[in-house]
Amino acid sequence: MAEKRDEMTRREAIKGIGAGVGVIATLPVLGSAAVADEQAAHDHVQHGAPAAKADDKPEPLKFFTEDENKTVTEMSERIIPTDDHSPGAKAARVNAYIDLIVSVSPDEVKKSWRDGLAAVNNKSRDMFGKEFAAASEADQVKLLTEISKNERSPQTVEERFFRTIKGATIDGYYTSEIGIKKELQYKGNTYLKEFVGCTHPEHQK
Amino acid sequence: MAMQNIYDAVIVGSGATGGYAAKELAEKGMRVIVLEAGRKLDPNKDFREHTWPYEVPYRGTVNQQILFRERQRVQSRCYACNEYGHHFFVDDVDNPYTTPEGRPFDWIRGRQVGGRTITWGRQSYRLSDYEFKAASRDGYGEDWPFSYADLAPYYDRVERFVGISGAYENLPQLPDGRFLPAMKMTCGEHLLKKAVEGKWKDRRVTIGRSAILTQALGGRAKCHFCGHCDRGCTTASYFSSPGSTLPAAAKTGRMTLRTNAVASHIIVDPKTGKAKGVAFVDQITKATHEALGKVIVLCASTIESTRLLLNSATREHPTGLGNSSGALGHYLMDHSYGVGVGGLIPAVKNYPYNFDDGRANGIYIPKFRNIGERHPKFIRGYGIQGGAQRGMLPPNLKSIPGFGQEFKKIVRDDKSAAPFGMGAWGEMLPRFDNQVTINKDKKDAWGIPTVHIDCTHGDNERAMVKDAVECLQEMAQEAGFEVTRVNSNAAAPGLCIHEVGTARMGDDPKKSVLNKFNQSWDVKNLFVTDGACFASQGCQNPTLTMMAITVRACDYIVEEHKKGNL
Repeated sequence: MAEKRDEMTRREAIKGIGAGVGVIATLPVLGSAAVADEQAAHDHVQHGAPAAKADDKPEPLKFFTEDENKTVTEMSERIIPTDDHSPGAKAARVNAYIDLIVSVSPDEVKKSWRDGLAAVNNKSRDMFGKEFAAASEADQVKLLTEISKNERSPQTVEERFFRTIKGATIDGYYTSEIGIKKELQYKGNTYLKEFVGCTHPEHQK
Repeated sequence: MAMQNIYDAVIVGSGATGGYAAKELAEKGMRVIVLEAGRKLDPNKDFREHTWPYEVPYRGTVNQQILFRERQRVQSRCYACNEYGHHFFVDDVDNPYTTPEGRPFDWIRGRQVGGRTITWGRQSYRLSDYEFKAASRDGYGEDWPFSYADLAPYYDRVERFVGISGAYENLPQLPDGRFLPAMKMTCGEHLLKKAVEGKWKDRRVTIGRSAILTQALGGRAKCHFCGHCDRGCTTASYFSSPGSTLPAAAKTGRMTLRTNAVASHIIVDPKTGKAKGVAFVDQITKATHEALGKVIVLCASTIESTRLLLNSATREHPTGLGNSSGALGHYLMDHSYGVGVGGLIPAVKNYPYNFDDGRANGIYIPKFRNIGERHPKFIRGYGIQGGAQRGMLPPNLKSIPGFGQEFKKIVRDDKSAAPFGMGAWGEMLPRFDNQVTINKDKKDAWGIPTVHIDCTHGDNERAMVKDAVECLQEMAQEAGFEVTRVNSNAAAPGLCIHEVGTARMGDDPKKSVLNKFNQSWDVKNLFVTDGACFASQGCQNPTLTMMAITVRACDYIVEEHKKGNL
């Protein structure tokens, strides 16, 4: 396989380096203070952003209510569902990603999410007599089909909200480990032996 | 109490030029101290070139100008001040500056060992006599005090040590260097080259000349093409001072690197009129210190070096140290930037992903205006940088309609047209009115008076930008590319981060701050070798030239130091 031939391991990439990470790390400095203080001076620029969590425990919600979160979870899963190829948005916890980004958004953005979710649930009650998250998968698809009809030029609150949540689902899913590694099977961001570039004579002659 | 150490040289700044000055002077026997305002980076923590989006909280999807608006309002306008690398940029609250109402200048800074060599774009081009003797050609401004032939041997030295990959083109306006093997072009870039060179005899499409190793050099590994240079490089495969020049200086045993040292002013000995040291504030303890030396070399970055000189005014130098010419602070320049075109390449469809996005380099179209006949609307010219690289996701992802399994499959199986983008980097003329002055009453977090930057584009830049946008569109069309976006408005000056000038070199002490060896006309043991010394800008990316000039100045410093002339 091409990628096997072109890739190398990190160990190979850094093998025998004199002036790589080691030299930078050991560059002797005359500082005023302990390294911990340097780190502290640096940390105050690194405000706000919590470290990404590796364990399986869901984070407490930052913006959505439990009910809103259920609607977001179900909608995102219908937009990018689990299929034979890979797990979908729910498994990739796209809902937690959306909760986080909405929580740092301006107030008008927050309001558009709250209003959009309410509009979708109103429509769901009208169509099926229950909220979106409680509707059957087939009914959920039916509703999304309806509110995505005018995707290019949305008219109603629900139609505009479809675009909003679809965009956020795309952002969250294709930046998740499941999205990148399992769904896209992206091979980049690695250690290559060579950059091959164009190999097609028709582009070069 | 022991006498304070007097170094042979005090170097302010540890970036591209400071690192080089340390290496050159220490290797030739001088004992140097390098003052760096920031901390030393820890590559294991700070370098994030292989970090995945899901390893940063907002996955790189939230507008960085919103995310970092509180403490990096200006810095976050730079593309590289993102979730992966914003820790390489200064805190704007601690490091304020001012601009006139309605005339923004985005001053992008990095305070750490290595300065902006951690995040720089790595594009490395020689200037030619089209730049060094520009004034003689078109009558605007001043020539540089040396010619290309004077600097060429120093370009050679820098390129051999730094490692520049590139292709030989034999063009008078863009002299070839000592290149490592050129990187390969992508499909779309070959199509562009074929079309442009076929149609216009004066235009050449070459692979970017980049300070990225395509062969191992000096103990540094060759590039592994992960594609994220602006986040640091754990294999030191692109040039940064902590990855190459500073270790070389450290190896001599004659360099002391003092971190957290925010230089405030130059200390002048009133008896001799010479500079005797640099006063600095420790950024953590806020205590004041002095570093004493026989020679002072300013490599603090264009505006910081000039700020130091302006903040070092004395009774003998009332308008700033070394400012008998009155030119100090004036003739600030930055490339016009941000104008360009982008879109899709229909002919590059249905090809599988080929690691295109692993090459952190693009193509370059050297300046073609005002090389032969004079352009009727403007003098000087622009260079074009661009690329055509397929990435992880379809370029039109957000406009693919629908949802569900079908949508998911379209994205997964995508082999749609490759995207392209091209932009013009235009020369700014040196104008007296584009200037840096001092706010006496507005101080930074260390009590040092801040700068006021007043800099705007002029008519020549506007005419040039207009021509560039037209040429970019016609070249893209000639190559069969589909142009979907055109930006005709240049970004605010500063954002290109190619700021130069404000302490220019020259042959005439009445018109310049520095002589042809970067030596202050007024204070003979004081040198400025960073971008502040530029007499004109050219359209080429400036860092390679700054380093070559530094090496040349250091040769002179060593000779003069030996002779006892400093």
